[in-house]
Amino acid sequence: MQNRPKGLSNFQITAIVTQSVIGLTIMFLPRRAAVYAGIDGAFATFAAGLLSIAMAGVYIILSRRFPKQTIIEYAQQILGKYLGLAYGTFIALYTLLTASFILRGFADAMKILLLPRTPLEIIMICMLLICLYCIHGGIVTIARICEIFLLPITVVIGTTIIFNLPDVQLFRYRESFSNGLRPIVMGIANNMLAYQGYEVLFFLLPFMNNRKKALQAGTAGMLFPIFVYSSLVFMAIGVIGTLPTAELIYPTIHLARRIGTDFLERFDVFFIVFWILSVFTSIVVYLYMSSISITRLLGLRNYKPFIFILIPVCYAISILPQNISQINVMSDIMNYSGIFLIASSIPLLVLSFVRKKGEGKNG
Amino acid sequence: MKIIKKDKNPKNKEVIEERQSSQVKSENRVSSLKLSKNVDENFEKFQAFLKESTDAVFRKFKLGRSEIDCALVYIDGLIDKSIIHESILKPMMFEIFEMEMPEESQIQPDKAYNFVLDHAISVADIKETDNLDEAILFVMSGEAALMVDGFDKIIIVSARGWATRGITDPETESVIRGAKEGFTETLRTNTALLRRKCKDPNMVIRTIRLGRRSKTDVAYVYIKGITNPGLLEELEERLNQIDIDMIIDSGHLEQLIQDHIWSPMPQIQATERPDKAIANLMEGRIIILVDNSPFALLIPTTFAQFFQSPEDYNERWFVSTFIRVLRWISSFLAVFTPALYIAVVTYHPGLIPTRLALSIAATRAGVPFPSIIEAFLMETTIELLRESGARLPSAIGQTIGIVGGIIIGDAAVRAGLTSPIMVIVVALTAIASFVIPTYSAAVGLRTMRFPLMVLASFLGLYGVMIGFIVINIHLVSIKSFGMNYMTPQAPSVFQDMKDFIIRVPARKMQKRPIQSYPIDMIRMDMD
Repeated sequence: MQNRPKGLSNFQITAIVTQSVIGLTIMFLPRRAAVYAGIDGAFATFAAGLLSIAMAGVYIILSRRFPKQTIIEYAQQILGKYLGLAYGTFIALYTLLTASFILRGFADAMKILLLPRTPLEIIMICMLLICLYCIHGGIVTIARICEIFLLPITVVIGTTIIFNLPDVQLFRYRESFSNGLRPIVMGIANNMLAYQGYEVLFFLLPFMNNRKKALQAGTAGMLFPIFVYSSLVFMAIGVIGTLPTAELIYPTIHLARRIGTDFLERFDVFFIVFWILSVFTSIVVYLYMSSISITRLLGLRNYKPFIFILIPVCYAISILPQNISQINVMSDIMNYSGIFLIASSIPLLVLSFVRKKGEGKNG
Repeated sequence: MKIIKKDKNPKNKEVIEERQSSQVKSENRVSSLKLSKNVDENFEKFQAFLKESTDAVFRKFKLGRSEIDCALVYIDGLIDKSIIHESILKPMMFEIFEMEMPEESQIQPDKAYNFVLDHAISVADIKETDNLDEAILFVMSGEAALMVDGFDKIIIVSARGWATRGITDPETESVIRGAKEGFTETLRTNTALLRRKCKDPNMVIRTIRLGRRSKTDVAYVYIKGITNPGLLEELEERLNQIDIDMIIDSGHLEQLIQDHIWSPMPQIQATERPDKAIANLMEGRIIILVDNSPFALLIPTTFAQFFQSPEDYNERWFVSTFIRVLRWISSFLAVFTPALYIAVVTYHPGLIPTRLALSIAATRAGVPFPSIIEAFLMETTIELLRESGARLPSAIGQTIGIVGGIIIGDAAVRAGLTSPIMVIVVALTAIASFVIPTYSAAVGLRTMRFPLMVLASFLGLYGVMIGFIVINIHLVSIKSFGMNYMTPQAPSVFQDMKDFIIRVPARKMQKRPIQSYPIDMIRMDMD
């Protein structure tokens, strides 16, 4: 039909990035920040966010040199066939592993917080089935789901932050920056991983209808997570205190629970319920990335049959860890892979300039 | 995009061929469909087709002094008899003698046909045909066929006139402030209602006949210069692909041309209101009118349209916005209330304030069923009441309402079958679903609550959320004639949000919504 834009709009790119970043981590982010950076957790989170924006920019600039391709294809151009294939396989596995990890973390949280007597398997299978339905609709459906869920998630998180604001005790911040640089650096390094999710930018550019604005749209998607994460950490440390925050499993839930009123006695349940939406979008985006990676690695176009293979594999991986220490091993693998992914993007960009691959800036 | 695919099944092809050959056979009842110059032969051909039907009227008479044979065929009940008597038979049988007064001006048989056309029949709308098939179709649609001896042509005199219903207040979409007229069953009346509202000659009304047997007139109306030509092409393609024996109603046609046949949501809006139809026309949509149906179809349709009522635009923006918010909330209530009740009562009693939780627990103490059974029992009852009330004459319908609402509700609580809270939940659901202005959308949404209740009973709030996500995935992935169903929400069209939940003042809506991609965007010039 006439004058009808094809592909994803800028706002949809922003929404996808936001929704894939905000997910599982929001539940225990204040704990991680408090453990590694102590009282400077909020600052470390904010700084990590700024670094992540820069990295998202690097991803976009790299992808924009190959506007018709995803990273799976252009990694082979930059690194050569075999190294590129290996890199692509790494991304496929990393995204699959991340999806499984989010799923497991989500199911554990659901079991602890909401449905104590429901088996983990049921929670996971239900989630995977709706993911299957969503991914089957393609990137367009995923984008729309991301933008349609943006509003409820914003409202719930916003309410949590705003209503906790009066309880922030500023005296807790007296000793800020007194512990030297080490905790801040540690916090930044760890919280960089909390912002994982913008890898989706490696895959989105071929579907955009206005690639010139890709940089603005993609980085804008990072602004909301930075705001949310930094202020949640700030709230948790300011309201609960550094040490208790480091001890709580889900400090964010604690924040949400505090603002219950007579009418809605347990706001935390409300928070968890809407948090399901953001976890759902994260899993969907990661599974989508994984299935499209595998498809492109094999040189095929239609990714839909691969979802049906990936979903059981994802389920198997997430059900595999028997206890918390095994989950931590899984988490470590994921973290190191994440660091490798972030670190590898800069050499990729440099190599693409040096080897003069890609079509240039505006492609 | 091809939606209605031609069936390639070879077996089906055989059936179609057989049917076509049988049609040929039935045409063989007369030696040939070609008209002859002899009026008796033509008359017999008509009789061969129609004499078994008692409502067909065949009349032979003679024209003027030279006694030229003439014949008239029409269907009784579909024509206006006074036109036949006063404007056809009277001038041809009697007044013609006055014209022939001077002996020499007697009509020659070779000029009789033109004389009849030019001087005798005093009816404005006259057609000529030399095709018997076409003539029979005209006769069946309520026109009179007039034959004159010596000519192989038939004069079709438009004398349509049958019993019709008057223009009344639209029952399903009544408003407090706004026009009180609704579409009727007659296509011509409906197009006239549209013409009266918009005098733009660019408003095109095109008609095609659908249905191999019913030959139903289907008119589609659009405005040249606003409606996107691509949309028009798409509609024409879909209409042309329909091969069916009969179109019964516009609701039937709707299901033949819609995009997703398995979806519970209507993808085409039906309306009884000409003002609503014309307003949608101005937004670049196309109206489809089906003869014998008082409901017009508007394509393409978005989900948000079901929450709009013509009244919204006649009231001030603040009032309309308030009502829009109310409708959206009520749509959520209609779908989710029973499921939320089950989830909260069964899994998360901590969610409700302690004192309320205690009183709910106290009232539920005597109820022997789990809340899911209780909810199903009561929700089914209210659906029964609604359905029986809708089918009964309005006087009895009210009684049913009173019996159901008060007696059964109260008695069920007293009998210990259900808790009073459950009655409130059920009543809330029912009332909320009636707030949505479009009936078909309300029904579609309301039926979704049953699967949600099952999900809630198994997984609590997590199940409700899964249902919510699935509904959302479905809604964002369906389309209506290539237009995304959930605009302006997803994909977001910020300009169209002016007429979404917030209805901005009329002077601020200077552009048409881009939902149907009109080629002329400017509605208002405010320079």
